[in-house]
Amino acid sequence: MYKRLLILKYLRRKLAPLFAALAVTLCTAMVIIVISVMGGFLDMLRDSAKSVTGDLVVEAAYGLRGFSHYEGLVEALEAMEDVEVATPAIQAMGLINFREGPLPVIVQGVEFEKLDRIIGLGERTMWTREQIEERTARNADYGFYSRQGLENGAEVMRAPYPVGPSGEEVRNEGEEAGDGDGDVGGVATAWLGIEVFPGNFRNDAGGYDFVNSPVGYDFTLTVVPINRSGTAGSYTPSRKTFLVGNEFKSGLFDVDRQTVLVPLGVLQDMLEMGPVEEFVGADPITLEGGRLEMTEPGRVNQVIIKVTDDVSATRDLQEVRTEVEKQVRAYFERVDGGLPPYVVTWEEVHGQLIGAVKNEKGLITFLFVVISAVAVVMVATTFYMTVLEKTRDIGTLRAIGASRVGIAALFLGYGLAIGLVGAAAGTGFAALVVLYLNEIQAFLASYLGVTGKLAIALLGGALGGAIVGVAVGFVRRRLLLWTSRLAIVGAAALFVPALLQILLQDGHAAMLNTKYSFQMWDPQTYFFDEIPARLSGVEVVWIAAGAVVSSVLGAVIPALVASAQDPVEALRYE
Amino acid sequence: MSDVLLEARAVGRTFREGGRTLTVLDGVDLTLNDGGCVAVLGRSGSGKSTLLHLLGGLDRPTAGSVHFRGTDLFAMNELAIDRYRNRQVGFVFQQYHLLPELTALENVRVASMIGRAPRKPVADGGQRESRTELRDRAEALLTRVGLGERLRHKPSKLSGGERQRVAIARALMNRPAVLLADEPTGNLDADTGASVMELFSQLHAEGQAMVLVTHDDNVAARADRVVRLVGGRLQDESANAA
Ligand SMILES: Nc1ncnc2c1ncn2[C@@H]1O[C@H](COP(=O)(O)OP(=O)(O)OP(=O)(O)O)[C@@H](O)[C@H]1O
Ligand SMILES: [Mg+2]
Repeated sequence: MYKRLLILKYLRRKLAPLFAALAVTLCTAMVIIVISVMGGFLDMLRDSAKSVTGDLVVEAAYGLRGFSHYEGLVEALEAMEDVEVATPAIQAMGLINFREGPLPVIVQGVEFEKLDRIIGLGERTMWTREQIEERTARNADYGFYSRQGLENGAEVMRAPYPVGPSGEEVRNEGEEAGDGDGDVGGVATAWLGIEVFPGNFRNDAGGYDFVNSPVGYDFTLTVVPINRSGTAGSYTPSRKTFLVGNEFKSGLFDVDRQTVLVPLGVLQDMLEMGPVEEFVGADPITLEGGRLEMTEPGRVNQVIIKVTDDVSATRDLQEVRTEVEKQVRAYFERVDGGLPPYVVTWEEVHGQLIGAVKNEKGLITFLFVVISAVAVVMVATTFYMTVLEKTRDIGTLRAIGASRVGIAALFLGYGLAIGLVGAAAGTGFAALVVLYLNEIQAFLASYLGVTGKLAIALLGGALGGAIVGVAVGFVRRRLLLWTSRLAIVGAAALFVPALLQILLQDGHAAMLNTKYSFQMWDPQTYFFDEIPARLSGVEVVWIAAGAVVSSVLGAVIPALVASAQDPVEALRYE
Repeated sequence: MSDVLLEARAVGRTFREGGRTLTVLDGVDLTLNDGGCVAVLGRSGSGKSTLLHLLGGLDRPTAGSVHFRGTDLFAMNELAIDRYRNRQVGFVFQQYHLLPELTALENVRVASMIGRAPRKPVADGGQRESRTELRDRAEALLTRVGLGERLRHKPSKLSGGERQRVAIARALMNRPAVLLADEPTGNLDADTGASVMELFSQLHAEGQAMVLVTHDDNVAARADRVVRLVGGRLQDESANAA
């Protein structure tokens, strides 16, 4: 009981415990902030990666050669209890050309409507229908579309697949529901990742402006067909003109920089992967009596799968992956489709990227934990000084009956108390910083000038006043009184004019703010427009607990030293 | 006829300092009876404080033994000795040795906060005292030593005499069997010292057993018995009372 009393008293003592607690506070806050920002970054990446990829992907064993019988496979997969949607797709390398030179891209042939159900494509579109229609009308006035040999701009600008940005069906008036192949007036439309078009730039706020967007422009896409035996030799590259229907942003830079989405059927044709129909059974001489027959089924090289929400919430994706793979194998055996494709999870698809960020997070966290060791040393030093300073009191306590264990417990308890105070303050501070990180960044970017001026006036005035105050106080023998008094006077003397100037002089505040600004996070550099940060309860608890344990550890040696002191010697200590 | 409270039997204490052995106490025998008062005189450096520390279980003798009510003190384990210091002994030092962070009242109470609460005298039932009882008693003790108006003062705000009174109140808090005072008036002027000594006289009159270390012959005159430490041995000076 005397320990609690003394610990509380010691905590209220001047500077030493304050510094120790401050060191703990700062280290706790530092580690929490770093882990939250890195963790937020990682979460955002994973989120983007997952939502842009689907949950599972069936990938052809022979890559670009693909596999046939996919229609049946999709049916078989969708029949599975855990699978919500499955859609065939083709992924191939290609070149696009906006007349400015070719750019390498990854072309994905997809069924837009189904893909939308899997990855929410509609929510990732960059431009609204109104924007596009307005642009279309204007371009039509300029005769832009007629130059392209297209009769009707508005017709071309029809939403290239029947789902709008907000998920509703978008159809031009009086129009039947689209067939989903996006083939408009003989010209197919494609969707580009937001970073594909070279004219797109992120503005100061990290967003994009529609004025720069290529929506409505045409470009050519060149792909190289791969035949069934896996060589490109027997085919010539195939080229086709597309219109940009819209742009999308997945949040994954690599995806947004190189992905071009086109209708599956169109890409299949370009790659010669469509079903081959031949006229068979005709009389070789008269050419009569034959019939059209499908001699080769169509091919794709991917099936993208979304599992049910239920499954993704409760089950390990790897388990589902194994089941799906079994199903795929069984199906391929049944149809005798050759080497079955394999199945990968979204995490495996983006393994490298996620792994890299994970590594970084681990490394940085480790570095900051090492830095925090400094705090332990600091606490230990502070404590050691306290123990020395308290030597006589330790003797006194022993003389009135405190045991050695009691003395050790007293100082360990002191360490614990400082750890608790420091960890609590650090957690609170870090939580505020993390929760308001973007606001803080916005503030620093926009109001640093004015705030800085006021703060410098206030602090500079106080400091100047205090220095004069020390001199005056020394002479008048009232140091504290004059120091505090003149500090307040000095602060007011500089602060008030500064405030008046900011309030009254036109343009002064704006000038300050433009001249002095600090951008902690430049949205132009990174791909997220906000600093991604999130607080994880588990991590915070671990870090705070670590801080408390560290403080106690820092107190161990001083506590042992204190308890080992000979009481008589301690009493004699000067 | 009264019982033996505290007894030093052939107590020796040597210090090793830089390879040489310094014999401070050499076969000291001393007996303190219940309610008795022994004054220890001696030149500076004669080992008075050392003897007092041994009697209070704060230091260990290198020879001989100390018995409290017949029990060999240093045959007990360390925690028992700690408890002995806490419950049976009340130390008063020349330098007061108050805890600077605590108020006068807290300094008095802190002795009763070590270990479990002290028990009331058997006459009052012998149960453990409650927090409020302890608090009231600490206040009463401070009032008794004349500091009823200074309960919330920190030691730094008290005069030397006042500090020593707080120290005496603290020493009395756990109703010790014996008070061990090491030159309690050594740092005080004559008047203040006299009033502090008056307090000891009163306590003695109430039956409080004590050992007083002092330079002052006037102080010694009030004791039942006066002994002098010379060359590490005790010389009996007088026996004022039986
Ligand atoms: N830890 C120690 N190591 C070595 N010598 C010591 C130690 N403690 C005490 N001494 C010596 O023992 C002797 C007796 O010391 P003590 O403090 O008991 O004297 P004292 O009689 O109380 O003196 P004073 O009246 O000045 O207080 C002194 O000579 C001192 O130097
Ligand atoms: Mg002494």
